[in-house]
Amino acid sequence: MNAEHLPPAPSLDMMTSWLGFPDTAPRLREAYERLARARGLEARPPRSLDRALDRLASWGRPGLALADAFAARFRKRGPLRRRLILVLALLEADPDAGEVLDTPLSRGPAGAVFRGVIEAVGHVLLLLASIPPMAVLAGWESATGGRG
Amino acid sequence: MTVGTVVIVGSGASGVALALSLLERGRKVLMLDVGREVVRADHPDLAFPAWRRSLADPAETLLGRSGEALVLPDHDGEYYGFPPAKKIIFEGLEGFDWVADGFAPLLSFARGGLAEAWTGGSYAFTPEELEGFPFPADEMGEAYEAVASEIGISGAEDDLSEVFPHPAHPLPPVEADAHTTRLLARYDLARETLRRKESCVLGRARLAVLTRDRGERKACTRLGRCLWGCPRGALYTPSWGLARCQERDGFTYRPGIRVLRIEATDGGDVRRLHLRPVDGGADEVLEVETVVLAAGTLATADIVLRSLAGVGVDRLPGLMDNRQVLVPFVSPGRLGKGFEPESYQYHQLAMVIEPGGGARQIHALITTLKTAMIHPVVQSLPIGLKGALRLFRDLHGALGLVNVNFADERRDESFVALEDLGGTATLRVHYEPPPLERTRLPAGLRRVRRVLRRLGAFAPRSMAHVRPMGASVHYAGTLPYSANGGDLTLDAAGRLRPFRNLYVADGSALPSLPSKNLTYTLMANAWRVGRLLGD
Ligand SMILES: Cc1cc2nc3c(=O)[nH]c(=O)nc-3n(C[C@H](O)[C@H](O)[C@H](O)COP(=O)(O)OP(=O)(O)OC[C@H]3O[C@@H](n4cnc5c(N)ncnc54)[C@H](O)[C@@H]3O)c2cc1C
Ligand code: SF4
Repeated sequence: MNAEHLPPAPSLDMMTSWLGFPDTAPRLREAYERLARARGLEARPPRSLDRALDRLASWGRPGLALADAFAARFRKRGPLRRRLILVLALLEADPDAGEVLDTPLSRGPAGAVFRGVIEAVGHVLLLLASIPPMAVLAGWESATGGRG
Repeated sequence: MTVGTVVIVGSGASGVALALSLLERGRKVLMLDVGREVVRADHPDLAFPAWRRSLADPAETLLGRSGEALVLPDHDGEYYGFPPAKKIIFEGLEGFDWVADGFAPLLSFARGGLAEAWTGGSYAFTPEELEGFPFPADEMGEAYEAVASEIGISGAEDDLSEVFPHPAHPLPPVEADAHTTRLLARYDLARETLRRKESCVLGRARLAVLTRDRGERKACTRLGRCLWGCPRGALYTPSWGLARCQERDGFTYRPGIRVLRIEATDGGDVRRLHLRPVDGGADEVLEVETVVLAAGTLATADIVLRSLAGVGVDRLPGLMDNRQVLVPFVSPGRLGKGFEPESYQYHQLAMVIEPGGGARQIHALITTLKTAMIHPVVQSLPIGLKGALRLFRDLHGALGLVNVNFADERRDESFVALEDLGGTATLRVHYEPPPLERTRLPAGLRRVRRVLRRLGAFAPRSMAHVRPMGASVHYAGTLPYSANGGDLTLDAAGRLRPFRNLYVADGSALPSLPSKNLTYTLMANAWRVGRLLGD
């Protein structure tokens, strides 16, 4: 099994496009596979919470956003976050994506502070919204061992 | 071997400075070195963004074939992954085994040693800091100037000149980036208050970076690739000094050799070196006249301990290192302003704080964040990764890192020893922090945060990271200079007592360790030992 097709984890295409770089997946794929394998990110997570996170994250962009917020608070070192960090690292190594990441989004301190507040509030809302689906999915994963 | 040849073990910053000094005095030098070769960076005309674009496989170059520079959340709190191209600098050596407690040792068996990866900070000790050395500070003064004119040190005549007396006439400083310029402007406004209330002075970093062409090495043109390897040779590394040695008559370089031990007569006459080719082959014995150990503090200790195993010496006390704390900070005035990938990447500012209350001086290096990989920092922000990435893009040009260094002193509890572990002679590195560290560290860090506030920056307390001992790689103190004599100490000429013709010229020699980066002092000391041996 390779890292790209690990069920029910989000695909590389989904992760790159959710991060705002929809066209990069084809050129990142080979490195993603190789590095995921080398750093042990392709195994099926043994913890039901991580499998639930993966399942939530594979429900398209909204699911990934919820799972990302949940993982940032409760599974900072978990496999989903590790895979997202790998994708981020590959994006910054990519010349085109890297140049975009090197530019600021706001035009000065006031805009940046405003954006910071929006991001913080957005994170809290996503985190709150992630708890009910995660409670259901985690319960189901631990009851069925993920074989449902 | 030719009569009159001085054998130097190691091609690091120390060994090369020593060799250049000896060669200048017409002496013959044989340098023995494990000496794995580091590949020199190419494309001396490409700044970081263009260079990244030129790479055949950017992911492999920047993150490594197996993702060794990918920093995942279980990392050790460092804020950057080390570039894969520099991995060879820290690669271990088969048969060189060590265990460590309280210490994370870093050794190099590369041509040029650890300083092939250094950040170039070159800070001379003051006469007071040289007090424990059994010779006049003036002797070091001359050596500091000689080294500076050999490698090129840039800096400015500013407030730091009071605390960093050498070089007296540095090359002009590297061009400051916008964030550094802002911090300097704030310092100008707060200068008197900082002096009075915080006993702090700040100025341009003293760097082994050329700002004017010098032979093969070219001036810094702000390519922003320092971390990946400067392709212009602007940032001095010992392999450039080694190349200069190789141009001189009387110099022989033998890489691929591990010096195992020395063999001496009962009268302290070193007669032979026992050598092991690192790529296989039979051990060799080399007849010698004069030997200088410059293999780096830990590897030199290994050679000495192996040599003395038969006479009951199994431990060298007094190991020192600078405790370092990384303090990330934000300059709110630079939020949303972007960063300059095309600028010198390491620290451009340095500051010195006298904490008072009997505590020793603190030395801190200020780096504004540039082209290092960003994923280690993004993941440390306390929100989801996508939001953190957006936030980081606005933060990037406002971020900086202060690397705070604390002084150390020789104590018997910290030592290097040779132990038999499972039938293998193994180096044990044991470190115990000074008893007052628990109070001095927080007090010093509070002071650093106050200084940053006056510079218009803010340092979240929770993000400060106390690096493990060993991480600063400023190892020293195990075969120290001593005016009082005593076996396994050095006399003023760097000769290891009780031997007649064995010298030591690396960090082992330092009798005390101020909070400053030590390599400039190591080079100056080695240069001085070379002068005494050569004259
Ligand atoms: C990332 C990084 C940044 C740094 N930044 C700074 C800085 O800004 N300023 C500063 O002052 N210092 C800095 N340092 C520390 C600096 O690199 C060291 O102080 C310096 O390299 C020590 O030089 P050395 O020649 O004494 O020993 P080493 O660099 O350890 O060199 C040892 C040499 O001996 C050889 N050798 C070892 N054992 C044997 C053996 N048994 N037989 C034969 N050869 C052997 C090796 O091949 C090598 O060539 C930094 C270090 C690192 C890793
Ligand atoms: S910025 Fe760094 S890499 Fe570029 S020339 Fe200067 S020292 Fe070299």
